[in-house]
Amino acid sequence: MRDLLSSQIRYLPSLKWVALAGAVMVLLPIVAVLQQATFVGTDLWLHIWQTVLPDYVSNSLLMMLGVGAGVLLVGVPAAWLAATCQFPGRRWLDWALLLPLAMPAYIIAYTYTGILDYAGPVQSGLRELTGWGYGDYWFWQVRSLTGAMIMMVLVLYPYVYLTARAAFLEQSTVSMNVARSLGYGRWQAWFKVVVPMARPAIIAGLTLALMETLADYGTVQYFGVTTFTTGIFRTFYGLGDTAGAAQLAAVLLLFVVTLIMVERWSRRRQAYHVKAQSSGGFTTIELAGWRGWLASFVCLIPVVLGFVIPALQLLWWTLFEAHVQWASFWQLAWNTFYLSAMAAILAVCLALLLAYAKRFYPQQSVRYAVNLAGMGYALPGTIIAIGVMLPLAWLDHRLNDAFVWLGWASPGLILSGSLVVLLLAYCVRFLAVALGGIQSGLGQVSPSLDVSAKGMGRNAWDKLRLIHVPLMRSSVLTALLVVFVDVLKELPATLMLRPFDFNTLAVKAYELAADEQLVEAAPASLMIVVVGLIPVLILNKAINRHRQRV
Amino acid sequence: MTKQQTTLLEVKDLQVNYGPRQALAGLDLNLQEGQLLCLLGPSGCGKSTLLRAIAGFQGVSGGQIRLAQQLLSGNGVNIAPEQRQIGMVFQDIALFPHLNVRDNIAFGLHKWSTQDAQQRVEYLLSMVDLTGYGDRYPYELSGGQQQRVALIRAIAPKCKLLLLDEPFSGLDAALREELVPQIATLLKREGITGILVSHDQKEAFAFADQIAVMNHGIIEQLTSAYEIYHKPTSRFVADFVGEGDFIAGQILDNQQVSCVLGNISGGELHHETGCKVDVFVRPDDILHDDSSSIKGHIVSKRFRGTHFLYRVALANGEQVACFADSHHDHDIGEDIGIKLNMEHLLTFR
Repeated sequence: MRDLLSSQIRYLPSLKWVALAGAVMVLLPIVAVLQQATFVGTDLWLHIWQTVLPDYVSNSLLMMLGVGAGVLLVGVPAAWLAATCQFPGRRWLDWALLLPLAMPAYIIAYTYTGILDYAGPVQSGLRELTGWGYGDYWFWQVRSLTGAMIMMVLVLYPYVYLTARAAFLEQSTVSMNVARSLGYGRWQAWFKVVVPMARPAIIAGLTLALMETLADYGTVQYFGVTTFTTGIFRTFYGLGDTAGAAQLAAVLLLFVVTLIMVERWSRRRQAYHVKAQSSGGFTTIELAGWRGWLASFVCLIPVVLGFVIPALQLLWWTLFEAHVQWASFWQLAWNTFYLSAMAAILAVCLALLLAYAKRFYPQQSVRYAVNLAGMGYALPGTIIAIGVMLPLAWLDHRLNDAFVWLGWASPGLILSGSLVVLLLAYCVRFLAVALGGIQSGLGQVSPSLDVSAKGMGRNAWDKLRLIHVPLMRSSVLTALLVVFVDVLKELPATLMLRPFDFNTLAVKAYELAADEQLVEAAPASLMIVVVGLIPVLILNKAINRHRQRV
Repeated sequence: MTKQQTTLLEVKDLQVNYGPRQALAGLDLNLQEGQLLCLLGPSGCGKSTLLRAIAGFQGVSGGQIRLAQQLLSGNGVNIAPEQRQIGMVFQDIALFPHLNVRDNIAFGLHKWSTQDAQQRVEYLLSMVDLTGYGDRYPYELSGGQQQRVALIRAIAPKCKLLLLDEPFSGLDAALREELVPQIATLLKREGITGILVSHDQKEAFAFADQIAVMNHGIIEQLTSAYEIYHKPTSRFVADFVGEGDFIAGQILDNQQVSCVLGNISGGELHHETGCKVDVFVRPDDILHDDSSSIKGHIVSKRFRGTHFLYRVALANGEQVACFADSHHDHDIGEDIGIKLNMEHLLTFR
């Protein structure tokens, strides 16, 4: 049957090679980084190894530890309450808990700095109330390691919330009842059964949050926490040492690979868990009185701290305090828009080719290639930036040599110094996002539809036009949108690779915040948050559809 | 078997309301120690609600539940499920997927010493022919094996009462037929008092000493399988258990009733002479007999291997079902002779 289908598309350039090319594209930065990292022996590297590396390792580990514990503490109870209990405001909180997904970590960091630092409204109000002056009192320093952890927790807990919530919905309340009929109290049952059963899903969400923690640059940089990403950035730019940066990146890669392996493993375990469960009647636990209000409070806190307060503050600054120069702002917005749109279109087209390649050539090699192409999401932007920069710079030099040899004018850095390098980096990082959406959409076009269309005497193009296009339209649009927003929010790779004098909203917000102009950074930040809300709302809709099916 | 009969479970005037809907409407039930009871009824009759109320997962709106004289629910008391010492097997099996078979069974033995728990687990595994399966995980077991593990997990802590909430409904018919009597035997041997909820009468007959037929939140009749089938006290019970048809009749005296099948007698009748009643006729009350003077016109037929089940129309147009030997193959539209062979005459007003 497969041969029958693939025979129809034989005249297309072989999709199989496209799949392999996609895998190579994602592997390229990794190989480039590892290759560069083997240029050992620079004194600088020894210096780094002896002085700052222990700091990077310990701070990165501390960040992972703190953020990991935090997202579990916030995400798991909220997920369980929203999935299995009935309390005031549950329906509303259920989706509101996703809102912080729209808030990039660096933006929430800038905002809380503005709120909590010496000149901010909280401390000013405190001084006014008490009559204290500078130095009269102790106040928590938000720009610290703990502060960075808290900021990351506030925006990353939704990863755990999402996966844990799905798992809790699946196990329903039966498992808890079984434990209680075997002599366990409510809380005992929760810790002995409910959470352990959801453990694979929780770990999957946790690893995603930790990958984001490792990849973060904006927050830790602003808070002065020296981690791998800030180290790579500093070594690359401040010290101009490519090999040193690549070596740091290689060590960071080790962390990332460990996380990927943990994530894969937990997803496999999860598959077994689902298999062992049959669907049962779904009942919710009624939380009446103070218990209900406590549940509402527990779910409301992350929403308020992770979205409502920073969003309102950004809105306030934008409306009443910032001096927006509209002409340059719109220029900025337009730059961001077309860059993100181009990246989204590129990534989605590539994802479509890969997904169809996997469908029509379900061979081992193609499957591996497509899966590999989907690994880029785990790579921090800093690694990707170095990894795409190096080969493109090399290519540029060869090109220039060739032009000179031919007697033509040297074209300059047409690849590594232009948007090309940025677009390639975005494709590597966000191909997985596009691929995920496209593949799940394609999964809904059952192969038997293809066969029945063939049976009705339709050729390949009719099939594509009449069946695939209408059925795939919404997943393609969603994938475009999600990649668009991800690119819009991306900071470290954009910062490292952008052409000279080319700014995006994210970069502008970063630069203004770095100059301590937090209020002026608000309009760009607010725009990023508002656009970032769109995929969150789509996600919420998709979840609700799923829930209605359950 | 001379065992002293003591009442273990006592349910009195139990009421459960879901908002305005009354799920249990003043239900009474007494269960003797060591008995196996089946709550049989259509979906929505309240049988699962009753089970959940006994287990403590469902609060009650009125009445009482007592286990071995101790008040569990009612009068403002509501003992938590974990303190009731009542085991329960759930509809969707619900083995813990993250624990192996041994740990699943030992889950309720957390207050036992490790050694005792281990012995208990091995003993129970041997009881259900699963010795050596302790290290497997639930997803590595077949449906029937999972069911047996779920059962011994529930009885492991030596509960006073075992509740089974349609645990066999997910299994295929053949497996169910094999498993249900096995489990009944096991519970009997262990001296466990049990209540099974089911909507399948075959399952009920294979499992229970006593059957309680439920409808609209009350128990319509509680007695042995034989009595339920042959001496239903209400029209609902007669209709719900087994197959049968109602045909119009008139009481002649306290022994006889006349209907299209002639004058029938069998047992005492408690209706006034001359009053109109419906006579309940089961397929096994009517035999196929070519020599009989009463003729029926075959409307439909079903081959069941050991016998045929014919639906025949009688002289006045009323229809009854009739069993015939599997060699008596007649065509639809044919007339066949039938005769009555009724031991228990059932009439309802």
